[in-house]
Amino acid sequence: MTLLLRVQFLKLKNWITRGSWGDRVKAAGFALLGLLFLSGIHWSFYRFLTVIRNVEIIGELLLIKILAMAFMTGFFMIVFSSTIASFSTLFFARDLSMLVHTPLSYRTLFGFKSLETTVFASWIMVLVLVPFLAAFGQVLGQGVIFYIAAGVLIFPFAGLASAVGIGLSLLLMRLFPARRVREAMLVLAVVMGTGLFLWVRWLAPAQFLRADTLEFVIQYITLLKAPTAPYLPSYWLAQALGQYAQGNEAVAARYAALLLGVSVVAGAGLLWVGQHVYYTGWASAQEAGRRGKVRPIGNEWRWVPPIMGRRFRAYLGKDLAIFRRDSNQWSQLLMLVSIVAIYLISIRKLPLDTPFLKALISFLNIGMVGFVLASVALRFVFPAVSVEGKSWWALRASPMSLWEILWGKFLSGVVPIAVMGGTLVWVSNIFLGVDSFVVRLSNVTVLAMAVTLSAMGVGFGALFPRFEMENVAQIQTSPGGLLFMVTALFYVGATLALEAVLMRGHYFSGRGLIRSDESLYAVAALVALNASAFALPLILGKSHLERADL
Amino acid sequence: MIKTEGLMKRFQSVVAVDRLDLDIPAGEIFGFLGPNGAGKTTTVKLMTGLLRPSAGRSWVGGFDVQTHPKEAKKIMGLVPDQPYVYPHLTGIEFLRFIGDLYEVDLSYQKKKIPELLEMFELNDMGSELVETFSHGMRQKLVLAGVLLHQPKVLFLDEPMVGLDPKSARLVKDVFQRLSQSGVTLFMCTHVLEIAERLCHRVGIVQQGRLTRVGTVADLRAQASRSGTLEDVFLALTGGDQYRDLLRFL
Repeated sequence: MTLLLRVQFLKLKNWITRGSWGDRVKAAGFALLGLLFLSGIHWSFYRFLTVIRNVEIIGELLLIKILAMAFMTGFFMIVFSSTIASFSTLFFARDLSMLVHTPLSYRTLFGFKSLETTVFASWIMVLVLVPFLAAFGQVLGQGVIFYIAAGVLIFPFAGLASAVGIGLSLLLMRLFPARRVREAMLVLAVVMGTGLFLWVRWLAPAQFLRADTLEFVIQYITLLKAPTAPYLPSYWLAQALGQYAQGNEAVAARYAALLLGVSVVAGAGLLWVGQHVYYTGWASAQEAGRRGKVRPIGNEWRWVPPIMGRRFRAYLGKDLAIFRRDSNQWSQLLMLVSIVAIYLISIRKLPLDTPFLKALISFLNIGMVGFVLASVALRFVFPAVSVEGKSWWALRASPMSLWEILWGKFLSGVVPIAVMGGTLVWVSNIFLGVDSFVVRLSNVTVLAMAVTLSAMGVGFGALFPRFEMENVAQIQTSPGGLLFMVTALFYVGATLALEAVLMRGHYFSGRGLIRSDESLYAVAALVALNASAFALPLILGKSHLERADL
Repeated sequence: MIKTEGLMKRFQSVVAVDRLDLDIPAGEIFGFLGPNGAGKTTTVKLMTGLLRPSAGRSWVGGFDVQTHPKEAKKIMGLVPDQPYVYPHLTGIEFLRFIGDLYEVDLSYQKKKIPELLEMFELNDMGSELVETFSHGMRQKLVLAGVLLHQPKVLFLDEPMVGLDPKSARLVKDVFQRLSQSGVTLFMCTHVLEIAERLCHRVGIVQQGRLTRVGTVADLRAQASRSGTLEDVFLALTGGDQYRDLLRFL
């Protein structure tokens, strides 16, 4: 194990020390951007938690509840990521065929790959939890011990969540024959969808918003005090930190010990199980090839309309066939459907008692749809260039120009994203009962966002291609993916800020788009924002693909 | 048919290809030889438009690869050093994809694809996903893809690696037939026996520089050496220095 970890360390060291000055400047730029992003998150959390803390009587209780909710969200996200990632890292990773033939024991190999999965599946979540916990500690005026405890306990928490995900993938590989991995992924997606539903049920956020429906304050306090899924490690971590912050050190120590103890037992248990079943799972995964259906030649791209032209039709048809057969990709699609359903149900259940609240939620809905579209673009459009992988040469050596290649990626991304965004905004507008101006504004905005975010996804994907990556999840969580998400969120935020000008005019006059200098500037700025966010990443991405030795 | 003038590629401080001048007529099989890391693959990448040169120009069929890439690529085919093919496509789907990318007539594809699969003994694998193919099978699939669109210029980077003796013989025969019909072949190889048997001319590249060009007989004369191309190559590239080291084994 030490040897394998040393290799990872050397890889990292070489990456840092052997890079060119350009690479170092780029890495420093990324680090600076990451720090700025984390500072921004910290500032937002601090502001939000301060407001919550200042709510009379129940402020502190609310904070603990929010802590439990955040950890529970983190827990499920790490479980989901590690399950998806472990299929690739444990069973299909390229280095495994070499490592399996070395004198390393299966236990060591499984332990190393599990550790790799854990780091890979949890680093983003842990990184986001750092500014959250920092803000939490600041709001409650905590000392250094709180931060040390948080820094230490986050590791067994992430490890435990990852162990659940890895255990789940081991189980699926054990239950399904190798040729049925696709079906295994389908079962996994259903399990994950159910998990997501349970998560929303446990959190029950609508109840906190509808405090007016509870008859007595005491009833609300009881609701706040009710544990959020007490058998989950997220609850233990929330209790360990929350109780410590409230001065109940003995209770906090008990929960910390519980979290540490269970994570040690779970880690040891997983290693024991892995030692016995891992090799069988890996070996059967090597036989997981599937036979395509025998069809007459000439019928391969039947899902793409002939209007696209011969070359383009083959290109899009090829992408569609690969997407259909890559369970890593479409299992995420099923998860996405669950998220959209939960979002729409939440919108329907929202209390909209005053015209102001209704207008505000209708407006924020545009931003939320934009956020969903940015996440979808990160999952499916950003990796589009990178998933060409090592077969990239076949496209580059062909008569297709780089513009055509990028345009094809854009087209196959923008259509589903626009349909999804359109459906989301249409259904949510019906649930919200918005007026015709908001309907028109949101439809146009979401369509523009779908187009721009798709172009940004392709452009950033071309600017930061990862052809060597073995699965899409690794591409999404690469520094380029992170940069795309930050930029996409900035774009959605800027769009919302500019549209606030138009919305304010409409709200106060009730006459739709007001002809004023202010509105004119806002519309002009929106056009400029979309045009630059559309074109710049594509131009830079194309130029990078031209210059790079890929 | 293939021409380069002062072609150069620099990666930071390393010069991978150094002022390469070449002129290869139609129908010639040109062998590009050199030790590992000499710049052979980089040269192929530059001439096929996969990489942009730091300086100099290259033409394929009279089309400048940088200014008229589409026209140049339409008439060229590439067999890369590693036959990476989309693992989630079937063999037939890959060939159809290549056929449509090069706008090969559909009726011709319907006739030719089964023929090519049979020729390379892949007819049982046509409907299998490429992820189940061995290295040699992928290599043969890439060769089938190249032959499907009937290029006028063929760039081959180690085309024999991974092939069984029967397939290697078939491929050599195919190359000779293509050359006789006027197709130009630019072949990087380490298998000097193949270069000696197939190539009309060979070029030796060392540290990015083309140090020798000519027929095998020319090179023998330049090296003042008789024997096989391997002996000549080792004499010209200093590859026989290892003999002293062998004493320690």
